[in-house]
Formats: sequence, structure tokens, C-alpha cells
Amino acid sequence: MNQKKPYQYSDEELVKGSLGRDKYYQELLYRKYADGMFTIACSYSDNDDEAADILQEGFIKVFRKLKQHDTTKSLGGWIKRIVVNTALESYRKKTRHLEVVEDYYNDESVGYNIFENTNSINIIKYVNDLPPKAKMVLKLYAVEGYAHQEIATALNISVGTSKSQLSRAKSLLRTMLKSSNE
Amino acid sequence: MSSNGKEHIENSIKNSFDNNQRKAPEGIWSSISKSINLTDDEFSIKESFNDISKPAPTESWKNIKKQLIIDEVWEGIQHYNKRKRKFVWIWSFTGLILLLGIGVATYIINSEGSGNVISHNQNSIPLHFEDEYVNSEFTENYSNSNQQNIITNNEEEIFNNKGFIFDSSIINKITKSNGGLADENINDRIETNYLDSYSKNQATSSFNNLISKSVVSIDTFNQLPSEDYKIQKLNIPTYLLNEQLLEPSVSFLTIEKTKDTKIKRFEFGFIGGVNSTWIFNSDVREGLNKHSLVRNELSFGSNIGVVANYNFNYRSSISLNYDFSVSVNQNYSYFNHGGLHYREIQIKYQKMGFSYKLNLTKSACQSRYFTLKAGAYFTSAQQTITNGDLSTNDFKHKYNGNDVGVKLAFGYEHQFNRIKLSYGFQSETGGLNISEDLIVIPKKFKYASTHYMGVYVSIRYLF
Repeated sequence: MNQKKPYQYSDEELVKGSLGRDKYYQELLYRKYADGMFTIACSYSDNDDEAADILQEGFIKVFRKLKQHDTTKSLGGWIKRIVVNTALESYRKKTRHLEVVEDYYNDESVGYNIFENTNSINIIKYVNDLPPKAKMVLKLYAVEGYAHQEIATALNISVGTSKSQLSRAKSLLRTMLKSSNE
Repeated sequence: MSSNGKEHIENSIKNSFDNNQRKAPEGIWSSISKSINLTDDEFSIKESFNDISKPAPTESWKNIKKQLIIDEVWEGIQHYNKRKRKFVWIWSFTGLILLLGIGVATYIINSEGSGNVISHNQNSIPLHFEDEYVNSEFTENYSNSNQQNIITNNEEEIFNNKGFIFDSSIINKITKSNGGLADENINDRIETNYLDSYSKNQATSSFNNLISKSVVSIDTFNQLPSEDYKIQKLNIPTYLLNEQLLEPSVSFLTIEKTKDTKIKRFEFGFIGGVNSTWIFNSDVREGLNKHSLVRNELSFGSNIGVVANYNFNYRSSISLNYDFSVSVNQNYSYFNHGGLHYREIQIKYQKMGFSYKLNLTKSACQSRYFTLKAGAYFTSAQQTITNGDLSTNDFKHKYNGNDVGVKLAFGYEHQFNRIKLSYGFQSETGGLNISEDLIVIPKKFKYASTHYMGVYVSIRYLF
């Protein structure tokens, strides 16, 4: 009998097998989503080791909570959410005593794409050079699609702080781009 | 191909695609709507991050797998702890049944005689066969004597005016049960039967004498001063005897004497059982601790053999059994070197045992009764198998299986003509250390013993 190749298994089959404590299915599920989740973990951490810790912790939570997964919804999205939340927990632990920032930045929309002539690698570099809280809010808002209310809850800040941190991040990015172009 | 045929195929293909509508995954619109709300620069950031991909470190899965195994072990231990409590209940329940059996046996033994007071109310035990009664010397004495007198022998008294039969044990029992009330009651009775004070005292004395000695002689009643106050008025049986025990019109129970009344001394047959088995080595004992990383599994074994009994009488017998196939198993898993290991120990042996069996009912006529059996056994190992994930410390566990122990069983027996069927609970406990003596570790440092508890069934032929 021909055995299925890993990519031929549906999410439903992987979930069912993993719930049955079958290590083969658990590993397949991990392999399917590990790279994508590691990339996300990297974007919320300062180095690969920290990202690897987030990945491990995130997947352990995934397997522990797999029973709670609603099979009608995307498994990838659910795992991503868990990994991002794990990264946020790690961030909260790390920045518990850091950064007291002002909440009164205004959103100065410039009306055009400031990254129009900038490639992806540089955009990522500029974003990663932002102060931690501003960077985190920007990523959650722009990359993960979190609403300010969700960001406020995840980072244990107020909605106003979330908004002002987003404005601050954009403003800093504009300054960075401007100085790099000069 | 004609244009009509071509159109038909195209329509079929179109229809098949039209019919193959699939529902879009949930959450897609939510993602799209969020992207729509993003400004251009925010969208550029999103796309930039989506473009990158980094392979996950190879070590990550190993670490995740280890943690998942640890989770399973802890979950298993929690489950085991709950199950251990169940085991405690099962053992307690089984122990209770055995104790109940012993209690019933003790009760029956102590209440000897109480159940066979009179033949009228008993289906099982006749005091006398009618022919014995008719032909007895006792009856002659009875018929020749004054009908108003009480006729007795050493074993029983017959009150002629009522035709009762009762034996000495009744009187003993009544004396004990009535205690100090005897004198008061007799006083009342005597008064109501028109006795004067002298005769009342005499009668009281006489009946107390009767109660204490269980023997009443005719002379005792002849000493009464007046024929007018004969004992006939006293209605003795209703005073002396509990009305529940005696009824006015006693009829003799006639039981046919059959050829099988002679006891069959020998029984031979087969015995088998299924048991919950334990091999208590150091791992299994550790597994009983609440926070242990060893998880003991429920293990079963069996025994099959032949049995020979010799009946001393209806109540007691000695039993010799030879079990040619006995298996004792112990399965458990333990966490070691970052992994969960499974182990299965099986000891197969032959067993020779003897026991004393007590019939808990006193009747020789009953064909169904409870039994209690206690004895000892000796085992000789045939084979010891250890399966599972063998780790570096497996030298600890080697067994020889030669053992000596004690056994206890509580059961129920049916007899159908010459066939006896018995079944019940059995329990055996080994008394020796069955570990092998190894150069690395002497066996005194790795004590292991066998235990089992289960159910048995046996069928035997009587001859």
C-alpha cells in the first residue's frame, strides 16, 4: 500500500491523528507549519534562539490545546494566533521594567506610501530598528491584523497607548527613511 | 465532431464546474477587511514580513516531542492515581466479601441447633424420622404413662397434651434468652392457672429445675400436693416455649431415606481461574507512590489445573490441587532518559497446593452451600519473560518464580447427584523473594513477590 506523503494529509487528518497521541501525525503537523511560525516568532524576537524558544513553547501549547481547535476554522490561523500570543508573553516578561513612553503622538498621515521605493529587506530592517513597544504595536497592527483593542489587551496597555505607539512607529520610520535617503 | 456534440461537452464541463461549488474558509473576509483598512505603508510592511521565510531549527521538534512525552506521563500518572483509588476500593470490597464469608461461617457455627429446633418448620433437617419415633422405646414409655404427665428422656421431652417434641437445646436456649424473667413469668402463669401459693412455689422450683437441667422427671410432678393442681393446668409448653418456635399441631416430617445418604468421600475434577495479578518489584512498589513516574497497569493471569478432595464428613474436607499452567503478569510503564518505556513481566509456573475446606452450612442434606478454603502452595517456575523497552538498568529484574505462599478462597458449591460445581473468589500471596541472585545485585536488595486475586470455577465428580 502506498503511504501518503506528508503534504497530502489534510489539516483535519493531522488534527485527528495528533489528538490520538500519534507521534507521526504530531510531527507532520509540526513540519507543515513550523517554518511559517518560526518566521513569525523571529519577527517578535531579537534573535533566533529566542524565536526558537517561542516556537517550541507555541507548539507545545498547540498540542495541549488541540482539542479546543474549531475544525471549521483555519488551523494555520489558529496556530499563528497561539505563536503570536506566546511571543507577546515573552515580550511582556522581557519588557516588564522597560520603556515608559508618551501616549500623545498624533497620527500624522502623509497621504502616500513612504516605502514606495524601498525593498522588503530594508522595510523589515527599519521596522526591527524601532523601539520595542512601537515595533510590537506596528507588527501586530500591520502584519497580524490585530485591532487596537486586541493589541491593548495583548500588551496590557490602553487603546490610546496602542494608537499613539502606532503613530510613533510610523513617524520614526519616516525619519529613518528620510535620513537614509539623505 | 459535430458542433452540437461539442456544445454538449462544453456544457457538461461547465455544469460540472458550476456544481462543484465549495464554501470559502471562514476568516478569509476578516483578513481581507483588515488588509483593506491598512494604509499603503502599513500594507508594505505586511507584505515585506510575509515575503520572508526562515526554516525552523531542527532541534525544536526534538524538544517539543520530549515535552509532549512528559505531558503524557504526567497525564498518565494523574489517571493512574485516580485508578489507584479505584483499586483500593476493589481490594477493600473483596476483603469485605471474604470477611463476610468468615462472619457467616462463624455465625452458622455459633448458632448450631437454633435452626433445627423442630422439624415442622424446617425443610432440611428432621429431628426424627417417623418410623424411628414409632418404634422407639421412648414412644412406648410415652403411651403407657399417664396422659397428663410429661415424659422425658435425656434428649427430648414430649408434652402429651400438646404432642410437642423439643430437645434439650431448646430449653437451654430459652433459659438463656429469658434470663431472669423466668421466675416472674412462671409466677404469672401459675396464678392464672389457679394454683395456690404452695403448689406455685413447688411448680416454680420444678420448672426452674427443668430449665436448668434440661431434664424433667415424672417424679418431679408427682411431688405436687394435690391432684387437682396437676400440671395439666399449667399449659407448660406455651410458657416455656416461644410460640414462634412451636405450633400446636406438629406433624412429623417424613423424609425418604435414599441410597445416597452415605457420604461420598472422594472428589476429583478440574479447577481454573482468572486473576488480577501483581509482581511487586521495586518499580511497581514505587508506582504506588502518588508522585511516581512509574505507572502500573492492570494485569491479568490465569490458572488451570486438577483438584482432588477427600471429605472427612459433610462439613470439612481436605483438597489437593495441581495447577499445570499458572501465569502471573505485571505490566507497567516508566519514564526514564527522556522517554516513556513499557515493560511486561510474565512468569509461568506450575503449582502444587493443599487446603482445608469448610462447608459453612451445617446440614448434610443441603446441596448448595458456602465454603471457606484456606491453605498453602508451592510453585516451580517454568519460564520468566521480560518484554518491553529495555533500558540500562534492566539487570535489576530477573526472576526465578519458585515460591511458597498461602491462599484463601470463599465460594459457593452446588451438588447435582455426583457432580459438584463450585465457584467464588480466591486470593494467593507469595511469601518468598522471587528475584534471582545476581552478581551485580544480590537478591536481598531487590525484593519481589507475587500476589493475585480473582475468581475461580471448579467441577468435580464424587465417588
